[in-house]
Amino acid sequence: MIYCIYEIICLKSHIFVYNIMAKPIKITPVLKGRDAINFLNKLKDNKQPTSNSSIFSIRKEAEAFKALIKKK
Amino acid sequence: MEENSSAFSLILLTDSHEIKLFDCEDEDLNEFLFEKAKDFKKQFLATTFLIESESRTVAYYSIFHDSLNVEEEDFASKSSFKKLLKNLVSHPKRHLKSFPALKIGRLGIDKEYKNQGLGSKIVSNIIHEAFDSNDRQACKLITVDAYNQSIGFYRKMGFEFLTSNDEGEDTRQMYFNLSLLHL
Repeated sequence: MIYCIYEIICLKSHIFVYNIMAKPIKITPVLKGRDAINFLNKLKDNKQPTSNSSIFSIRKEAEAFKALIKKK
Repeated sequence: MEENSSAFSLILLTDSHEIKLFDCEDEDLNEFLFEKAKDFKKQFLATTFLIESESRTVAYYSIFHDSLNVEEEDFASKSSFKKLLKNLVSHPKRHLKSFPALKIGRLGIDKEYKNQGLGSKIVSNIIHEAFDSNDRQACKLITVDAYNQSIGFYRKMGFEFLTSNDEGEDTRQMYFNLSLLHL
């Protein structure tokens, strides 16, 4: 019961914060049930369909971004 | 983009900064930059960075701290009394595991610089900076509430859906696990 009240207060405060904008950004949900199990399993095994080439590409792209920006 | 790139600057948006011309052809993203971004900075709700050329705002992104809470159904109580209580009470106390995250709130590319790979460079840089920031403050995930038209882009970068509950909606909640950069 107390937890439900807490959740309602949190939800209302988030609505207040995010409704300032035309299109609100949805708050990150609390994962439950199957979603929670899937997420935790992926984290546990570091399983994500991100290939080594994607990771390499992220590093390369981040370096490319830094190269784009002139030093002030 | 390469030939103009030497003139780009990365700028933290502050109250006194005059925002240069920008149009990413999305009303909400344009409106956020010109009408809301400075106020969000003042209120510590989101920090916005601009990528500028001499004459235009080439792109911008806003980020803020986030956390992902995950409910563990099989949370094992430490004492036998609590175990008994858990079995007796119809709604046992839920155990939430919390993961620190950084949320990409807004990301907009000016129409003159679209389809030139700038978006993936920006997101890659956000990922890399968040990974490096772990020396000062823990950050496990990058989260984003992705527009449907951007889902393919984020998937290609290795983002995953958080839930299937938002299937068919105009945006989907996604995450990137920063631990993967250790591999």
